[in-house]
Amino acid sequence: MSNVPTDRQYLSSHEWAQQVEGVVVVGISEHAAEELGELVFIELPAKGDEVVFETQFGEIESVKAVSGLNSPVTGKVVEVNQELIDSQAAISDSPFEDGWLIKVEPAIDSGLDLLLDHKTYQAQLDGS
Amino acid sequence: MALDDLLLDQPGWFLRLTRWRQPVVSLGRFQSWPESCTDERSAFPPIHPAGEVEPPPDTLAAVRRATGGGAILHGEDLTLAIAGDCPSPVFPHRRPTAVAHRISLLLARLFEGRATSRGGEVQEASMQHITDCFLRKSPSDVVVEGTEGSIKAGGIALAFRQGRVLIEASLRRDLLDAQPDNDLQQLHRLGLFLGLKAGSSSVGDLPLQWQGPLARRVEQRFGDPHWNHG
Repeated sequence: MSNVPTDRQYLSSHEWAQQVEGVVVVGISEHAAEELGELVFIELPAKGDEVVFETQFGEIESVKAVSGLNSPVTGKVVEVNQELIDSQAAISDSPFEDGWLIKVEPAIDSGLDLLLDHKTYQAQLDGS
Repeated sequence: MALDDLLLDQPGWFLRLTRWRQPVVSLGRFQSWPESCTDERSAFPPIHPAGEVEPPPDTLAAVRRATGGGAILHGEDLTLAIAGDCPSPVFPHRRPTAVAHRISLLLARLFEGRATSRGGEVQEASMQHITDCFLRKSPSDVVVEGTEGSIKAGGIALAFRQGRVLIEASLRRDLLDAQPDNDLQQLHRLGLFLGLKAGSSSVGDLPLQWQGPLARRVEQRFGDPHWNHG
């Protein structure tokens, strides 16, 4: 069973958001990382780009399959995990910590209040 | 193949057959262009972007796929695309290995008695450094038995976006005895195997009303309005 930390919120498409000192850290869940398998490429937005709630902000390629990454928050990208560009291993090994993707300064209408809490996301995983 | 990218965003199910006027190489979504051009392991001649006004001599035109994986040489193959909802009754699980496994079985079933799926719903091994899709083995391969074991006769690649999946497949006509005259019938059978209801169909060049959206999509996705027009 995949780990679902209680200190963050989720999209049903398996991205997570964690609010830390006014910034929203974004990543994909352990479940998603396991489903994708070995990762070979990632495309992320640049610092300063705008991301929109539930809209694709990047793409990740596991072997033969390219998957869109949806933003769990609307706002401006303030930091990108550059280490992932060379190696995506951290996403598989540590999806909730070292494998974070981007950090976002949330807009006023950020969409964060629409995210799933950990219990609802866990229930979604249990039902799939 | 840019149309396949657009179909990822359209509601409904699409089964598409691509015919090629000339040999064309399709590259995976993130496959390195320089590597594909110059890598000595490449099975292909040098390539140039399809749509270039004056392509260099002795080169092959190339297009970019929305799906992952390695390069495929098209022309003599049966090129298919399927776009639809995922998860859905057709593909209940969004897991790449599950979708790949199911479609591999169905493609092999199109050539029952001749082909099988290599089989196994297991993780694919990395092919990041292998240029040609047909130079590697994968659980989702469609294979035929030769005197020295299984021969890869078909490969697939996937893209997931929002609640949709795109599957692009290349099947070797020579190994599967896939005659062009049977293509539409095979497309219809594939729809039946997938459990899709009969819908509308069209044959021929792309209608003009698609050309504008396609050009915009290609420029947005690949930064060049000519790129990907195969």
